Amino acid sequence: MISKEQVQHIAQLARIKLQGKEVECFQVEFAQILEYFEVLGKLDVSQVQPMTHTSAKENSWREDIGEPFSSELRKKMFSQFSSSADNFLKVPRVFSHE
Amino acid sequence: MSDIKELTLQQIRAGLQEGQFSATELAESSLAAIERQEPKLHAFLEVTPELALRLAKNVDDKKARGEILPPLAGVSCGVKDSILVEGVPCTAGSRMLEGYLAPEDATAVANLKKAGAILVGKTNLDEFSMGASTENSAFGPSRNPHDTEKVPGGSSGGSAVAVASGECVLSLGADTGGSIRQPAAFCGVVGLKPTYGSVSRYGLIALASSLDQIGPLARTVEDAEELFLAIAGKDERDATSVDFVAQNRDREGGLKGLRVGVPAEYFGEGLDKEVEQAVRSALEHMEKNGAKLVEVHLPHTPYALAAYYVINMSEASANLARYDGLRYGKGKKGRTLEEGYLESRGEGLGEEVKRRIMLGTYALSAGYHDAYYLKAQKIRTLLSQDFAKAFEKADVLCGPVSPFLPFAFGERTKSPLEMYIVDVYTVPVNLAGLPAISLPVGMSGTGLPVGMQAIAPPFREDLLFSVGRAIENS
Repeated sequence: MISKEQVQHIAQLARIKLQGKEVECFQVEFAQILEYFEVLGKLDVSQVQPMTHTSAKENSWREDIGEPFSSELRKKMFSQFSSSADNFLKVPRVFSHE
Repeated sequence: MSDIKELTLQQIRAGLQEGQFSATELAESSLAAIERQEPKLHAFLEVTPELALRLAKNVDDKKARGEILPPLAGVSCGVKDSILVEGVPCTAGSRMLEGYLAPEDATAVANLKKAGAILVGKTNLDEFSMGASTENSAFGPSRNPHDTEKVPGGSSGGSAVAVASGECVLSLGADTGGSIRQPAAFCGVVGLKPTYGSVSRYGLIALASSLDQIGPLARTVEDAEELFLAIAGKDERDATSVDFVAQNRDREGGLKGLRVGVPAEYFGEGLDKEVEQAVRSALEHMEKNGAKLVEVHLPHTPYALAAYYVINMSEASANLARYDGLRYGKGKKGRTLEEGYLESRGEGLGEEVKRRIMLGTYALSAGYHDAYYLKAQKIRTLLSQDFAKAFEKADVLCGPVSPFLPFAFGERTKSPLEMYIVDVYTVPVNLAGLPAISLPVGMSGTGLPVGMQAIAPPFREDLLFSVGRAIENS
């Protein structure tokens, strides 16, 4: 059984602030879902290679050529960012004094 | 002009050529059908009349200049709201992206425009494509046109409803674990999940990158095929897209001599009787038309759903990290950077999305990675080998799309596992990267559609269309 503290810890790792009864609900549901996932342990897969992708038999290469980025597209992308100024994206301070 | 619900692509092409109607009239007819039916169905999150009429005028101008019309000229098309259309809001069914305007077209959408299609709007979905009923959409569910008290399936539920109700002729969906095939089955239309890598994912809002694939929904097999051919192909902007030539050949002799594998594991416990009956009678029909039915086994099927959800949640937790309140749309401002993240995601994301991100974070965290993610990837190898072995004995595999008929709203929302099990026959196909089609094969006693799934080896969509045509003509 997963504890309330564990649920809070995972939420913190995932950068999600849980609200109201979410901690209690997720605690119960995570236990059910993780119990269901236990079926994976019933099979001996020690000799099996993992499969990461279905199409990637070899790497996909291309020439290393720089392409000019459309200034119109840049403008559109900037307009959808939370904050910007003078052709720079603006984000809150990464290192704070607190 | 006749209702667009009655028109196939071929008829639209002929009608435009002969001047029976204009592309503008076709667009207006679709927009009118949307306006009439939306209060009841809610298939669309955004209707785009200006864009539709502009694209229609391009087609009419081309015709007036005597140019050859492209293959989808004048054909109205809905686009799942997880696929970008330039200048149009794109929410993926989430409050997190409310107000976000797509800065450019997804490659599949750019191809549709090139092919002359008329984009009429963005269709509803479960938030970030997580769900099987559209009940997880932050903007309210869509309703099944066959019975509005029932779910349309999901996550591409809006795309299926729009096509089934005649609001538009075609639509684009995306399928991570059944999200095209299952709503197609629930709404009685054709839905194709193409081979992984055959359609560019550039501009698709990612759920699980190793499983996601864009594909068509349509009322006829031929229409689905035409849409697939218009969007398939290598794209420099998606490194996982594959250079191949999609075949549009019909199998010679129809179903004669075609080996149809029937996986015993897909007809097990929990399969609805009426679904089984409809699928079995479609199989009998195929046999009568010369197909050879062979029993095949996919022995690792009982592990598929758990392996699928571990991979889905793990990849989703990484993909959805980008929704931090800064990059897309307007989030919450906290006192610190981290507080801003926590608040934006805590408020902007819905319950199922939080659940999957958190379980994915857990499954990938130190000490658990090998027990969950790595194990799931190994089982993925075994499932893929199951299919490869089955394809030694059969050319295609056929079975039900979902064990259930369309269910009532709220029927499966009490426990997440109740909803996950709806995907039990569709997820193995995504894990193996195969193409599969959902075909309408009949109705239940209460008038609800049943879908049959046909699965083929990689890049053999042509076989699926051949099977589809034979079923359609029965």
